[in-house]
Amino acid sequence: MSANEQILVEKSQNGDTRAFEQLIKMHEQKIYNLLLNMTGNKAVSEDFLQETFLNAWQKIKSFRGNSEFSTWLYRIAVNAVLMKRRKRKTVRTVSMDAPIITEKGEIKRDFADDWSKSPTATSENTELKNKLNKAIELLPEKYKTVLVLRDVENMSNEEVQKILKISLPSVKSRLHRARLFLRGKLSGYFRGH
Amino acid sequence: MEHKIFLQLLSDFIDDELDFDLSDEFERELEDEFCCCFFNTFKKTVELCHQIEMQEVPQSLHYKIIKTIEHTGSPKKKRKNKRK
Repeated sequence: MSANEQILVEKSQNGDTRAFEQLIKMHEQKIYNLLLNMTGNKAVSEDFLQETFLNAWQKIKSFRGNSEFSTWLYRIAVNAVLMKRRKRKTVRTVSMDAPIITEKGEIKRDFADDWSKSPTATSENTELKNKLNKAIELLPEKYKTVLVLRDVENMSNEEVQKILKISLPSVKSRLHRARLFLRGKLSGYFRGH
Repeated sequence: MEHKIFLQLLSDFIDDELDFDLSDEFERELEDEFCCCFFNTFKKTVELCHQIEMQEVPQSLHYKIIKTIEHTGSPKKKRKNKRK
């Protein structure tokens, strides 16, 4: 945490709303994008963003500085989404075990088309972008959260571990399975073209 | 290297988390056409995730949050542990 951020946190803990506004400015965009990628819905993300900062303001005195302030904020945002999802109790069953290995232990041929150098394999391709966003949405929550923090928000495995309070091997394993799942979905898109 | 092992190591390789010997072995596996294709598409998938554009926070939302904070009052005090 930078010295400036630490001062802003201390002022906020003493009830200084102006200082807290500065903290909002510093972190709102990243938190908002995390929420957008987790929920896939703009209106819902806006509600969660508001809830995140309101919760953070109300709980700021309990922030002891043992972690980065941003890690603490991310945890509040992620928990807000996961709590709501748990309450809704909608269990989506998406198979994460893509059958990509044959009985002989080799990679299945139909998955081996190399679309990576296709001129349409670019983030400029709106159709592909939508396909990728839809595939992320399809991921079960525990995989999606790790993937978004790690590959979309570009955090390190260690940062993700701190936010989600899970082990490093769990971060790595969830990330890997999520990446395989997305690759499978994008391969499906390219096979269809 | 078995394909199964190769698949398990993909993320570690692109995240630069394999030790030297294993990394060397992994690279040799990339000479296999199917492994190479799988690796390229896997890597591209991760790159596309990195390229997902950041959205701006709508200004109206920013001000709405600030107004809500201002009207909420001071943060709650720390809870004291009750002692028996």
